[in-house]
Amino acid sequence: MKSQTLNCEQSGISFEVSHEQIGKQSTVVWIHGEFGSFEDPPFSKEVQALANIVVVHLPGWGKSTSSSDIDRLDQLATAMWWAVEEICGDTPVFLTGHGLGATIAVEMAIQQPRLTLGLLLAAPFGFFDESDPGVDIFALMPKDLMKHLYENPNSDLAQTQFPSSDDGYERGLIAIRRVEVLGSASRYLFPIPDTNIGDRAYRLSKVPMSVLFGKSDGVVPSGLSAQWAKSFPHAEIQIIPEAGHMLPYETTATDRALEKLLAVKSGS
Amino acid sequence: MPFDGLPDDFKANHRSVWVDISPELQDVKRMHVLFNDYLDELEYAAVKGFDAIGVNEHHSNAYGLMSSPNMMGAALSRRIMDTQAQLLVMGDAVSLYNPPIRVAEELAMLDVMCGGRLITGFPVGSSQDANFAYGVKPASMRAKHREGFDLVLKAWKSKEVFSFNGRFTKLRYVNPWPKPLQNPHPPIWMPGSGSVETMDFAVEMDVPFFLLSYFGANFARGNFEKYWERVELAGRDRNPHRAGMVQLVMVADTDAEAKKLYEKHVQYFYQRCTHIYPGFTEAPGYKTVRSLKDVLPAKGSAVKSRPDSFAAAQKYSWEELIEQGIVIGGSPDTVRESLEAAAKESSIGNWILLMHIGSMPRELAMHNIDMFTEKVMPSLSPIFAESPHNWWPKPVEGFESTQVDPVARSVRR
Repeated sequence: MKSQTLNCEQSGISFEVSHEQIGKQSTVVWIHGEFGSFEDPPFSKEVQALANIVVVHLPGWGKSTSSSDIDRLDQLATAMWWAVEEICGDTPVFLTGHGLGATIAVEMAIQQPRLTLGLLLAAPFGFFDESDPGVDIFALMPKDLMKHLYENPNSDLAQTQFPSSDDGYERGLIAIRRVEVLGSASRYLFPIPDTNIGDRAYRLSKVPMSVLFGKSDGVVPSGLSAQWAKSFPHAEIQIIPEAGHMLPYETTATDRALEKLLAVKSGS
Repeated sequence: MPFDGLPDDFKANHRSVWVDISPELQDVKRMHVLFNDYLDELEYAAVKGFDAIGVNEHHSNAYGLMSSPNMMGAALSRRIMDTQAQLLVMGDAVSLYNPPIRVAEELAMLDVMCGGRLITGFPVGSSQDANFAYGVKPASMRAKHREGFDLVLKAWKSKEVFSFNGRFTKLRYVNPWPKPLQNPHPPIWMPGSGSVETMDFAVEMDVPFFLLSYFGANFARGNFEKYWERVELAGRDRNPHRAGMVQLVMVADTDAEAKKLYEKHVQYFYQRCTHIYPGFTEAPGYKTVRSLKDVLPAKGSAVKSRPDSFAAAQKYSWEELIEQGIVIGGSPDTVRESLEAAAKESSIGNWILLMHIGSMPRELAMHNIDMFTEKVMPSLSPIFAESPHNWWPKPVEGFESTQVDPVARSVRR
């Protein structure tokens, strides 16, 4: 993938966008989650071969930067569309994302349903259940958060989430990185990650949707799938066993779901 | 204003004294006594000659039971009328109030009620209070504080009804009744925990910066060096009254007596009252990346915990707390010398002394106040007397206080 920087002078945002040459029939926009350590798309090479994959890095997470005070999801969604349209023009795209990225993808789709061919959402924030609130990612220290993120918090994959170091300076930088990404996420998810998405669900009644939850997700509890199902009755909703919040990286479920979404749209 | 009923096994069986402390630990009958004890102690300090008595603000917290500083201030405002003490409200983090005009109104009421003796503190607010207990977004907190502060100031100063179209607050009509008695407004002090943004804000607004730390002036040296550099860079004078600090002070007849009297209450404070889950200390976004990079250790340095941290302080003995200057405690001479040395070292012209700490009973706090006011205060050298205190309440022209029953002098000793 090649990287490209897009400067939106009026908004003060500098977007870092990664993509292959746009040439295939379908384009899939991937929006990463709230944890900056996983920004690359989780799709296998085989699945990536099916479509143009465009990664728009979220402004404020390090690669993309912002001097603006964007603290509402609709503002961020508008800014994200600017970046997508710079790359894809007015060609409709599939919007896909993980965690906060999935939450932003829905907001984008609501703004422009006719430019949205389909939605693939992995562990999206948006609803909230007071009786099963999930853990507070902004309060938990990394060592306490791991078991809520991963089905297997001791896996090699999980160990890359919050790297450590014996060097005080390096460890300080790691801590600052965590603050940088979660501080940016807090603009949209703090203190309660309820975006009232259900109020605007009618905008997406014709947009194919696939929504995935990890059964062991302690951050976005899979019990929220019922609220998604109620607001989006046409959506295909799955609870993935043996997966936590990081399900796109823990399983191949997002591969399968994207394949299916692409196939439905192309009529095969 | 700590709750003194935290159990012995508090640290072992509870995650945090702040934010999510179990409501089951509350003993509201005991709190009735404590609230009245603390108010008595503050009134007594006023009677005994303290320049000011102060209240603060915390939420969901067992070491600071004052969730409303203005209510405490209101309770005190009439009770200090026959003393010389001013009333310091070191709370009212404006970003916590919606709309923040409420802060302008309540502080103005207090200033009018107490006859123009109010000193206001405008903390940005701790992460525990503002973010976790009150749900303010960490990343926009400073902007919200700044906007709220501007609104309060304009509301106090404006001679006309005005509209306020802020990012966070929109008010068609701003018109607080009453405005403060002090004209244009009471002195403002800016408390902070060491972030450069707060220091810069204090310098920009030309108000004193107060370091709220429980670790004493020795550990604060670096912070004050940074602060004075910024004062100088901004072209302001090095008036020591631009700086203030919180300090635990415990006075007894001798150093040994101080240990005997106060040690277990100080240990209660550092072992239970500051047992805070680290994740609540600073929500991501609370401090800017700039502030965090400012305190990065050198490359290649070993990973070690800071000696001026609550985790470290939990293990300190009385002697270590004294030696490191975290607590200034001992005989009157020891306390006076330590305070004067710290004041000179970092040019600190204001001290907020914590005379009641941890599980200290009322009688002991009163004794501490007696010892300080009778045996330390009179012999303190006027080391900064040549510098004018530009941030202290001044007599209001043409104003004469109404007669209030001299209730304060009836405080039970």
